Amino acid sequence: MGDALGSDLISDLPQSIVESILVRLPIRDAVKTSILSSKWRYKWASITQLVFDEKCVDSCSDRDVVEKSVVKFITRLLFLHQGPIHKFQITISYLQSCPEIDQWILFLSRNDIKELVLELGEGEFFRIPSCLFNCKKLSRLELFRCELDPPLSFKGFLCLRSLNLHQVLISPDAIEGLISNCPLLESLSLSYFDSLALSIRAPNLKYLYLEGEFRDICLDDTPLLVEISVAMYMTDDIAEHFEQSASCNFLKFLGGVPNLERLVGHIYFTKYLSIGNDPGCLPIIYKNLEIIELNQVSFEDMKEILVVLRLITSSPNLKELQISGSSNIPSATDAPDLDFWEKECSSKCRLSHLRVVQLTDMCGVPHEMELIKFLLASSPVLETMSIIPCVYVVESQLKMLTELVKFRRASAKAEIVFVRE
Amino acid sequence: MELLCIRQWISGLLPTWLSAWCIKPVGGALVRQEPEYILLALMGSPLKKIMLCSSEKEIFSVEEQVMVQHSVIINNMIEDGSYNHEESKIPLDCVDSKTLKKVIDYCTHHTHHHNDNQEDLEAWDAQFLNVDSNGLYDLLMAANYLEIRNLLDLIYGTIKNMIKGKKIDEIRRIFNIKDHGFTPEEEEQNRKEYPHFY
Repeated sequence: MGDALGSDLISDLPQSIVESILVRLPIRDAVKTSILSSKWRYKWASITQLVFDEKCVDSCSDRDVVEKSVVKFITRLLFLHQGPIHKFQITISYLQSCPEIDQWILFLSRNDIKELVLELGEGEFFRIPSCLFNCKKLSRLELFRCELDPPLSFKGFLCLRSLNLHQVLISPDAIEGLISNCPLLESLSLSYFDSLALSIRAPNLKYLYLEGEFRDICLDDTPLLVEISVAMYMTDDIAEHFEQSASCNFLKFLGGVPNLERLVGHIYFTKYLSIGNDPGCLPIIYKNLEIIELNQVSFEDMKEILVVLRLITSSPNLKELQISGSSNIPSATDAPDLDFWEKECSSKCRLSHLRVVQLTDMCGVPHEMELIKFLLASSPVLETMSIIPCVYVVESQLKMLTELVKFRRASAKAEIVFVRE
Repeated sequence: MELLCIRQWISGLLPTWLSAWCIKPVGGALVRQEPEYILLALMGSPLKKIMLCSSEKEIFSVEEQVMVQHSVIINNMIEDGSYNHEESKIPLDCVDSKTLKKVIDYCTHHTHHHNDNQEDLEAWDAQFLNVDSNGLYDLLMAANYLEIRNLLDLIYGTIKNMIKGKKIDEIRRIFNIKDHGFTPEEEEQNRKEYPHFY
């Protein structure tokens, strides 16, 4: 590309174009341009996005040396930087909590920071300095392994749209306060919290992602929620708390989300929803709910099956359904209550948009078969049903297949795919 | 005027046997139908074209749809009605003819081939950008002025690759930086401090 007769035009490009190019480079290459020529000396210094990862300094076998070198690099860079910094991201596993990080955040708080992502190493959690709460323009905050303690006078981040806290030490009141004081919040992700009881009030919230040990979740004011994904872990005292609870978890969680489009649950989520009194016929129809994915559903717990059924029958526009069983080898229990299916599933129920069904970890227990029978009979436009049996139950697979073949299908196009290892 | 251009273009395309075919009954007699109209009727309504005028006052006619899809500036001009199809042309005083032709090429190819697979498109793009640094500069300024997002991203990517992972001496060669502008002491200091960059 270099020609002997050509002149150096690229160095004279307008600054806005040069910044668009530099921002696409890894930070190390961007800063390197400062020794390219005297014209390039400070072109990098006004880029508004700074992203630091493992490769921003030379690696070497001594972790301490690399850590010191990265701290020096970032500090020096910030010192030479000019102008606003809109995005600052650190994802460096060998960088531990250190006093310089406080100084960086102070610097950022004075330079209009909008997006801050801090993912430090596995050591001691970094305690976020109070100057973070002065960042008035913050629109995205992602913290990993930090301690967050908002001051009492904190009135919220008025521009915050996205909040992601992963393994963050923060008091339950502080989290609830933080969420409800950020009026524009659209996306919330909380992971690895211990025994948290949470009430979420976020009128603009659209995306909710939760993972951890939650004792109690109440979606108080989240009418615009479109996507929910929950992975719920269980401990002994949470289990005990569940035994004693009388309130209806299903309604507390899914009672106020009429615009839901996608629901994903993992581990004990279905069990969580089944706790408390049966809501009966649901007062709410999820007319936009098109995708339901529920994992680790226990088909030996009638209440969990009821939760699954209520969800399916309250979603008239459901297109895709994925359910996975809890892969416990079925014990020889007493005869299951199969009348339940006749009671709950009226033959008039039609899932007129359901096209794809995937059932994983199926053991062939009676309730699983009844669910398959119900789905096949009620889905006139079903295209594919994939059944993946649990790997531990080789003998019952033939029995499952024999029963399957007998079921009536409402859709002539339905293809049943039975996946055997 | 527009229709005349299209008719001439279509006539040029038609093989003679088709021209001979174009007869239709009118009032009991068989009359020869203009072949261009038949082809147009088969194709659908005539493609709307717009006129772009380069800095050298050369006029380029291009499908309106193609430019509207790619250039934010042209799209805005047409939407707010400041472009009158019958008479006016869009003057682009900062883009010369050679560059404008290339830009039109890019937009046309991407509109007509947007269903092609990714590899083919990327290969075409790579070939398209196989120009000297002057040409690249001109394309970049034109794409910036017309606000053609995907062409801009493509060029940014190309220039970025001229810098990423390369030694300083090599970048200087690629950019044609003959005089780095540092004092000899500064240059020596830099080389001492960052030997692995050179």
